[in-house]
Amino acid sequence: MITESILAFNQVSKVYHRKNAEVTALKDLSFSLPPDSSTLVTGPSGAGKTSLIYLAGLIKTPSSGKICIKGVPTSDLDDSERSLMIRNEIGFIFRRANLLPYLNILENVMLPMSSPDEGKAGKLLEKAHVDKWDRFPRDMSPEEVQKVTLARSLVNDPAIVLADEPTAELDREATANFLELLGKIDATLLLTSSQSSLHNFFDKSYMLEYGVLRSYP
Amino acid sequence: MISLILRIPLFSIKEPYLFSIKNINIKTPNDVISGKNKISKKKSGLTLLNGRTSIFNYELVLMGIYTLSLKNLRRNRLRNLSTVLRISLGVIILLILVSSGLGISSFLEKSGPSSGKIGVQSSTTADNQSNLVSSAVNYINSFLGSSITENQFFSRLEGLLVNLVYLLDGLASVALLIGVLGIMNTMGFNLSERRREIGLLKCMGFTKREIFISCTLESGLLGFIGSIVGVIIGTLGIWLISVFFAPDLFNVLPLWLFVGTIAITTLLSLILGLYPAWFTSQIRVEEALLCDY
Repeated sequence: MITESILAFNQVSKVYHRKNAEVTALKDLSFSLPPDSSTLVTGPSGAGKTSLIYLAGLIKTPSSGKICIKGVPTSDLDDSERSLMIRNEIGFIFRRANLLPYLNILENVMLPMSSPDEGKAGKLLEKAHVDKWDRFPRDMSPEEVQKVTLARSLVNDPAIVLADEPTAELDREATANFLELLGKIDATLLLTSSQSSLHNFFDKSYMLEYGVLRSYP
Repeated sequence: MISLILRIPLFSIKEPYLFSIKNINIKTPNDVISGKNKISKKKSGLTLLNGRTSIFNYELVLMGIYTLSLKNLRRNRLRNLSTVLRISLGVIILLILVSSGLGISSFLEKSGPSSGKIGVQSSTTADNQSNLVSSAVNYINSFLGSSITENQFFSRLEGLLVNLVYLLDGLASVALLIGVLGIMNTMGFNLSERRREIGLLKCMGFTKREIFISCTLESGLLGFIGSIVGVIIGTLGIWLISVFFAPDLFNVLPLWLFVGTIAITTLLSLILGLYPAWFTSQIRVEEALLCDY
């Protein structure tokens, strides 16, 4: 069954309860991502980008509203179903320290696989232009770490890849290389960044300010 | 043995392909649906990749979250080593005390019922021994002001030795427990330094249960290694004692003592690792990802 949108937010809000105050991180977000699209969400620090990624990735639950992944309302899932959906349908790339330091490149990529397949992991690493797979994260540049993370995020053929400021610690050239790779993946991409100049690489761009999402001009 | 331990929980891996949840498109082994409805087939058998030949069934044992238990032992080496040594010391003390107790028990069994005489009876020394016992009983009676007979003396001596065996067993248990208790502390430190990694594992779709089992296995492995080292050194020590001081001692020791020591130490370690493992498995992802470690 192929649904029309891979990820759909419907009037989603996220409110954090601090000691004596409520902080609204996201306010009535509504958008949907079609299959194989790439979407950029930009915004200043503290705008709610990470909260958006956590909500889309089932790490956090919304205070109100509805999130659907491939047509399935995520609020109906219990813990094990949520984990199963994350493993099968979602790939994560974070800003830094994405790899387990005591596993080599190949082991890191194969870790989420239910049935280890070196061939598949190897192909993904080749596509990501990463060689010498017996190296450990400490021997790799930040760009290589992100490339390996990208390969790992795709290893279970996810429907959507969520990237939370993956280029924040990369220089301009490495950022361009990495975004070029992201453009080739067979999955829907949602990427957040504080750099609005990246919008040329994406099908659609949004601006997130004070928890409100606007289409990028 | 290590691989055996690692194999057991692998049967309990939640195989995503075999589960169905509500309206989600479930992946089957031969049909993996991605964003582009791509079809890919699972490989099987031998593959040659990156200069290495691998057998998938073998890798199934070696890869996955449960192998992290083994790989994690390479980290915090000094801390893990001190834990292993502490457990080994506990096991050595346990073996020595329990074997001493078994030696005494064996001695008592060979001596027959309490009405008989303790010790190896030979006709040539019987008179001398009888005189010795009589003088010992007389001395005790005069010293304590009591009036016990020789039979009562033997009976009480036997009771004393039996109590000594119990005492040795008790001391052995305490020694082992003190040795193994450190594992809780070690696992607490080890796991608290891995908060971010636990968050990453959850972001890969690993369940609380899988993380819990992996962490518990790690403490079990520490206990297992410690007990193996302890049993080897302890056995060597007992053998040396038997060579120089008590020739029959080594023959008295049953195999179950060594196997049981390993099993109990590993089991205790697993039990003591339960709380740190549970605590770790409950970490919230967003909090874990905020950590620098």
